[in-house]
Amino acid sequence: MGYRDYLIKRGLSTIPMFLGLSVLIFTLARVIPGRPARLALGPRATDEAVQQLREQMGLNDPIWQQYIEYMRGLLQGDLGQSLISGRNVATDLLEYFPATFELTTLAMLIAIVVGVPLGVIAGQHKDKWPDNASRLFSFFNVSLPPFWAGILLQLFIAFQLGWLPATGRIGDVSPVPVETTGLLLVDSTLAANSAAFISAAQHLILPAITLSLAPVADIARMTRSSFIEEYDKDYVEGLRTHGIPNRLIAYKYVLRKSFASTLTIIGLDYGFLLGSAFVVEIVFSWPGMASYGVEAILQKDINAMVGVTLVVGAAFLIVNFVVDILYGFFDPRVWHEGESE
Amino acid sequence: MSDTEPTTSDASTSTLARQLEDLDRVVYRFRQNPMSVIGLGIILAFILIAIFAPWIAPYPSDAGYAGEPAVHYDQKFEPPSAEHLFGTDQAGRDVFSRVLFGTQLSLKIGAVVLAAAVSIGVPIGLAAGYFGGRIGMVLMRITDVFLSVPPLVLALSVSVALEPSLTNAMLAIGAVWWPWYARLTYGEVLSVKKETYVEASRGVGASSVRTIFRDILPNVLAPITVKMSLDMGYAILVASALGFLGLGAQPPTPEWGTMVSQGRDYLPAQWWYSTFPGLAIFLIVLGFNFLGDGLRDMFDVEVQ
Amino acid sequence: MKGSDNLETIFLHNVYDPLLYYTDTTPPELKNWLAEDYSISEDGQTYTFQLQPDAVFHNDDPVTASDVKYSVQRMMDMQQGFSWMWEGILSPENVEVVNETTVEMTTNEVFAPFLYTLPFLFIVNEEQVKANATSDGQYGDHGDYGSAWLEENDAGSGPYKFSSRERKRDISLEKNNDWWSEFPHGQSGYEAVTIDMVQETATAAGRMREGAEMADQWLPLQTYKDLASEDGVRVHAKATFNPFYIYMHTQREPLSDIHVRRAISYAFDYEAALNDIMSGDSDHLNGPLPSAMWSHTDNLETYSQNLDQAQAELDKSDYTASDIDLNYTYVSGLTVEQNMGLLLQSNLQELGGTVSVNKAPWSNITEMATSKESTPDMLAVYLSFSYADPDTFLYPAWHSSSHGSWTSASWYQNDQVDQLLEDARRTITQEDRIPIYEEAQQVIAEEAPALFIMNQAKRNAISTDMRGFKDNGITGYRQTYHRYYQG
Repeated sequence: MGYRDYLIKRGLSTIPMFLGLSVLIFTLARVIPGRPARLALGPRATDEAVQQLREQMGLNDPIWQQYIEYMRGLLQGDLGQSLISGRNVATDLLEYFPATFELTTLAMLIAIVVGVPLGVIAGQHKDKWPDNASRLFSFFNVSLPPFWAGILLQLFIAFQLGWLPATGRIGDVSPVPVETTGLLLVDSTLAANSAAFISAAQHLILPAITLSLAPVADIARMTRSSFIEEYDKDYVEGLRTHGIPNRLIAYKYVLRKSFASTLTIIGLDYGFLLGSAFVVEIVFSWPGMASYGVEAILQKDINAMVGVTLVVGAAFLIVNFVVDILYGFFDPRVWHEGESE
Repeated sequence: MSDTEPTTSDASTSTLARQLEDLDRVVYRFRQNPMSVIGLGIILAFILIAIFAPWIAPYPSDAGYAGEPAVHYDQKFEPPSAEHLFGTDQAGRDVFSRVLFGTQLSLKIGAVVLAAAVSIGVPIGLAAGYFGGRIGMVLMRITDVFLSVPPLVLALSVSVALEPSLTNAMLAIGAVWWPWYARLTYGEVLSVKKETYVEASRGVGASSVRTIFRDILPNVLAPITVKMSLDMGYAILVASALGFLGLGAQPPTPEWGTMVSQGRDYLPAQWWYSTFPGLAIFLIVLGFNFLGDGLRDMFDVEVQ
Repeated sequence: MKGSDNLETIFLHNVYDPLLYYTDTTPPELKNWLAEDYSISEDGQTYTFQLQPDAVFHNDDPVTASDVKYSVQRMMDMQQGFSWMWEGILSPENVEVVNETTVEMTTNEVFAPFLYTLPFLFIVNEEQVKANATSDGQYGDHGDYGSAWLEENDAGSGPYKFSSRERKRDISLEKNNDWWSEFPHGQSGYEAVTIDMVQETATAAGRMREGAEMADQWLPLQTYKDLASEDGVRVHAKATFNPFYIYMHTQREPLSDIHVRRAISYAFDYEAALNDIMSGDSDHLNGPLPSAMWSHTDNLETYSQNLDQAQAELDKSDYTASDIDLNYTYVSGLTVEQNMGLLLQSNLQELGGTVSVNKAPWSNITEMATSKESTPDMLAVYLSFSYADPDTFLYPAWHSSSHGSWTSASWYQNDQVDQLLEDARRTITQEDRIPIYEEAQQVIAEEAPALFIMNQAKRNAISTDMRGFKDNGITGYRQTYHRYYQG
């Protein structure tokens, strides 16, 4: 099996997963008690209007038929109307997704930039104090409830020291950056708007750090163990006898070989990070998809709920797909061995 | 279970002695890891608090103990003092007493969630692994679907579908957690199956149920136990997140996540209201993580 | 709360003009606005309005009688916003254009509060809306009545113009310097206003610290207290028309028993509610109406905490304390409502009853209230104040035709009250209506279909740089920015 076949096979395998997820969440949304049409029209709506909307939303059809209709719409980018905003869920998500994407991506970057060196240092000093300290630090990180960690950061950094804003995505800056990608850092860079860039970056720091805590720990631990495994191999000793400095050995040779397994944990963590975003966005009043999703779920806005869950699921599947591609690139054994599943 | 130890006993007379020796070694391995001892200490402390909360808590009725919900609005938002170690909340209730009583709830949540997850996940994993083939594949694909979305997100939807309450929140988390156990069990069953003795017992016509219970189940117990202890903290964490989002206990139940969320309205001035319940979550989760890590070393099993 | 409703109301009040307007006094009176003058026919059904001859829309089109007729038609066809006020009362075909500046409206029946509703009838520019309506809408020939276009534009004549909408959570207005009327403070009025909808308390408080001009009422009391101590921020508190009730489901046991309801009314600790939960500046409600509303009477049964009396009432009922096992539901996020529930829970405990305190999002509460079965035993509600007439509170809450709305969550059914409330609507002069409303208040207070807890002071955090702030209690008026100025 070649790398290309591996890619295709791996890519195709995500489709049934996505379909399965859509069936699951769609069914869940339809069994939620409550009357969505009534919810959409508000308390003063007449019964006829409610009935009419039910008809229009297809809520009187059998559920499998509703599902097929929904999937047909999905292919055309129509996710149904949000009962609360009154707009198409796809429109809403397009608006909120960039904020979440910007936040989670930055959090992941922080996690990698901090976690990988931490793991390498721990691995180099196996069972000595830097390793133990890193281990303890990791335990603390994964045990912190993200919402509480966010609140502590707000208390100390934002309220006590006043260094960074506690909530929101951007302050009162003028001119406001023109929206092109929806990613404020990118938009303000494109517009060469330094005031907006600084403000957006300041708002990003605390929520991104909060989100990165658990992945930092996971990445550090995973890097450490794969690093140690690699570090014990004979060729490392060989390099050392050739007088190559330890730092170079660690980062250029060993890390490169052991990075593949770190990659897998990154994929897995990205999913958890999206989950944590659901509480962290609330803490920081971050106007993202997770805030929108929480609101939708709490208010039983069924179309929005399905839409958000599918986007989160799709993001998770895509990230893991990309990770597997990279993994195959770093470690060809995966596809050479073929069907070893 | 490690390679160096013999797996079959040869002399029945020395069995007891050998088991004791094994136990010694296991305990030794556990004590080698100072974190696991600390973890055990933390968890024991929390269990004691949970049991004795009615006696330790200075104001048990503030936590709704014995069905006596008390409010003292004239004492609201008093900062931490000797009288109220963790201050008082917006209803003048002693945060310290409420945090202590929250321990019971938290342990209960963790236990119920995992019990639900295990009782769904293990049978599915067993069935998929034992029967294999098409049934196994379908079951494991369903499992993968559940794993394709973060547990918190799915748990949110499930708990709304069930109407928000503490019990439903626990069931919801259990209902999205089982795939991990299904996967773990499945993997274990496959590896056990490869070993000949199961094949042999099949050969002589043992029924499938009997094979599962006698030969397979005992082998998967150790990794499942370790995974449960590792997951306990995480389950409490997810449950507190649901509480934080308002989908858990209803007031005046002293659920920690709910308390953190309510206190958030009063930041930064009344910092104690959110801080202490959050600290309790952190400590209990940390305790379970330390302990689980120690258990993993002790049994020397690979889970995840 | 549905944020969008709120934003929409603020927007309408600033960008559009109605025929009549409320004064800043409490209780508010009517004053002429787009109407220069008006008269009412003898039978109390026909109203004739003379329009200001020089009133113009933002695009310089004059405001004409035809625009008024079109606005009524559009409002009643779309059945959105404030249209419920005129449902069954004003039909578009009964609005007649007499000439360019004279318009006549005939109500289907005598509806005494009619004039008080007119400040909510905002006039749109007929030609402009028609020109921008898309043809494929749900209103037949009228297409979408221009609603898509109006998301990003305006067709009003008001003191402010639509400027922009950012990320859907905020909206910006710019001053209309060619406004047909006058800014009371001339040049020092605000040139531009940005309205930011924030969901989070901490964010709203943060914005005030960072120098925002004003924050609206839905912040926890403690936040207001904290804000009041900040430099550059002051907190305005005034009890106007903001009654807080706890509805009791009168068609479900044991609350169907008047003595149980009265027992609960005597068990609640109003003092703690007003002084400890609130900070002492809200009024205890005597009966269903706030005292600032005309026709309010003190001459009725009022309840204060008295456990002996509560027990005596309970003894008179067919139930015992252990039958009192109730569900109290409040709007998630409203801490005052939550605290009231906890207090009630603790009070009823003393009587021997139990209460579970539950929260639900507002949209779900309105949905629950649509049926008798799904309405909770007890529901915490701030009754909304629309027009300055007692009818605004009494009819939606206690007339049986209002059943199914959250305003009527007691499912109260009393033929005498129904009759009184109808009579009051059909009686033209205010002095004749007052005794009718007094009688209705007495009956309702006696039957205790709700706990009449308080008229809550409305709070606003205001920057000390902003002058001219007024609160007459009318929804949306605190955010009518042309009255404010920098100083």
